[in-house]
Amino acid sequence: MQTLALGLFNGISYGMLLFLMAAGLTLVLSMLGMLNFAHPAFYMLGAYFSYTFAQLLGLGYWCGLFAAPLCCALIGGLVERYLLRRVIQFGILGPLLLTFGLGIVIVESVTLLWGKHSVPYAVPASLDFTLFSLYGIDYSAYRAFTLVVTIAVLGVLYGLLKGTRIGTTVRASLSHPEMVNALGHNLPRLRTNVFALGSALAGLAGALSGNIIGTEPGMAAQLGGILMIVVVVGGLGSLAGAFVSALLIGILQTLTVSTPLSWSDFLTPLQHVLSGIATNEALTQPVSRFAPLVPFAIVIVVLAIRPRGLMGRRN
Amino acid sequence: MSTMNSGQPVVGTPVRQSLASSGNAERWQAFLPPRPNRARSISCWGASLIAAVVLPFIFPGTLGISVLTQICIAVTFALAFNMLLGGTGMLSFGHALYFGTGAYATAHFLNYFGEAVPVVLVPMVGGLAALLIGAFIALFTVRSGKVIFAMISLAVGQLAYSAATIMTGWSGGDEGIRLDPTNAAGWGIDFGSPLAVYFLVAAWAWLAALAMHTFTRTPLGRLMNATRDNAERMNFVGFDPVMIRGLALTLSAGFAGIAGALYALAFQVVTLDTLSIAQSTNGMLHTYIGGHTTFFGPVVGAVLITVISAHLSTLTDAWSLYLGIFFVAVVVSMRRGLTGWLADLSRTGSSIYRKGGAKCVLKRATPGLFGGIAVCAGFIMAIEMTRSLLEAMGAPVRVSFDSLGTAFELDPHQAMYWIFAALLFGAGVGIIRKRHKNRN
Repeated sequence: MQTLALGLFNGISYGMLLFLMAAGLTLVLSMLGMLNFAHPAFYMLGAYFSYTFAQLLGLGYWCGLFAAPLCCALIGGLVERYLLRRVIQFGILGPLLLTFGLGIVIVESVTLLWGKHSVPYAVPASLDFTLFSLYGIDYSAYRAFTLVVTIAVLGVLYGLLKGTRIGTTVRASLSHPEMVNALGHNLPRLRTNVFALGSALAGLAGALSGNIIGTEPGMAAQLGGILMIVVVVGGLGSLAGAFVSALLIGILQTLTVSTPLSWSDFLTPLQHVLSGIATNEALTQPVSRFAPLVPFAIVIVVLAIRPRGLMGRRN
Repeated sequence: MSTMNSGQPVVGTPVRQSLASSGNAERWQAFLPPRPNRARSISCWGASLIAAVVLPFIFPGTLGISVLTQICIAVTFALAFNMLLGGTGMLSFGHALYFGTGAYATAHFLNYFGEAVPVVLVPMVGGLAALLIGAFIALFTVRSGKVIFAMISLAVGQLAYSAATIMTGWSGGDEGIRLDPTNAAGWGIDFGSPLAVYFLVAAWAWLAALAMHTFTRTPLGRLMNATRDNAERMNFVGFDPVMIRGLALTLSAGFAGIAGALYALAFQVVTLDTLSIAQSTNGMLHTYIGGHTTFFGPVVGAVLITVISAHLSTLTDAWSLYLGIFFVAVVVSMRRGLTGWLADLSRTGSSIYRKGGAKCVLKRATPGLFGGIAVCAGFIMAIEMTRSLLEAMGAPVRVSFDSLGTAFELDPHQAMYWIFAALLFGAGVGIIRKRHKNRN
């Protein structure tokens, strides 16, 4: 029970982090019509920027948390303005390859500037305490803080898209780009801003979670695969689908990590029938070792049953 | 010759035309893809075979033969990758899965049934294993075209890598699986020597390349091109694009598996690196930098990058950064890769030559050339000085030109060198921008 409760809490905060990333990716995908494979690299960049501002320059955690998304947005905007805009007119292949190559360049630059090993990006002292204890297990205040910030940012984003004039323009240009352009809105600049916003969301996710998960050059590749799965399972271009699938994958994976069961425990009811098999070496391994494979199992099942994703539209 | 682009007119037009002209065989010719020039293609393949045989004697020694072996493996992998990218228009970010499957299958096969089988035929095992895995993956990934396939291929590749790190018994963990080709039946050839292994690898690479080239001429190869160009129309005409994409993925996986098997035979140890995303990325870089629109583009890319990286990776740690930046530059400014760019360049050059003579060509080419060199030099100087500051406590960077017999040192603690690098970079950018303005 206690592992279940803890897994649920951690799973929700991990899932919300995944959704913060997936939201930026989906926004860019539906606005620019291309997938940003450099998104995980921006996430990593956010963690490194935040570490640099907070600890190397000694400006404090809050400054880092604020400056990292801004820097990521700036880089993202420059990338869209000077690189993506030149290749996106020639079809879908160019942007995919370009963002993938940019991901490589960013990871290599980070390795060059900050070194191959992980950097000691720490949880701020003001948030480093136990918020509450459940069944004798502590829940850290920082995790709760990341959850609150994520929900707040997503709420503001939702309000911005639904309630303001800018949001209306963005939503209009998703469905009728030519009409928006003809009505006098600067569509190219809008696209640049949306790309910068997506990068900023990735940077914020990095700044929030780099000190829990660990800030190292491998963190982009680690999250990249899972992020693609979240978007595919949710359905391409669907924010609600991304939300559901991010929570699903986050909770299931965290529960698998924290479960004390092993494969043979599932077979104990059948022990009389399958005597000998349950003591097999492969089956006595704990299930938690196989936690990294959970998202992949989910994507295979979802694609087999429902190829367009949970809430994707039929094309 | 042998462009993979020539597939557009296969569907539609000839049928309509033949109805109009009541089956006149002469008029068909105009609509069919260009006939291959048989004598020329035979001489090309023969020349490449002779080059593969002669080169190890021109570059003897461990390094030379090792680089040549790597080239053969990289060429096979890049061609297999291009069967998907150039041939069918599908971008796979997880092709290392098939490479690694081929390599591991070969290693385990040789370790279990080693004595019973001839080494010469063992790459078939790797190819078949990867073919089966590819067919399985194709069941659920190829249903929709480009973007979703790219995402899922990345995810599936990561899955295979994490699964392999967990299943240490099968993958050998960090140490990998060792194999010994000398145990198996060698048909009187001693596969302990690198030269013999190189000839085995080269022969298989040549055969695989020939098979893939022949495949582009078959009806299925043409259908793959047509699926790339217009999948909806294919469906309308009566072919199932999903089926064709699946077949393309399966076959491409099989050839990638052969490349993996060659890797296993050449290095005699298979580690997790064969499944890593770096391996997928290498195949993609070779293919795209060489040029994915022609059959031989990936070959050029694979040879060029393998040779350069064998030399440069010993000189600088930042080699993969340079390669990444070069790749981004190619994506932005040469959409058809190096081969396509060179073809365009020579066409423009010859037209200028016809108009204004050699002097005019020189006048047009000089600013671009010098601007490019200045940009690269300034950028590399800045990167290397940064590296030295961060990693080597600011030790001076030594730059030597062996052919000119000169050498000088860059001291990252002196502002002078930084200003020099910035000036070089800025001047180069200025020259190139001015040239662009003049042209427009």
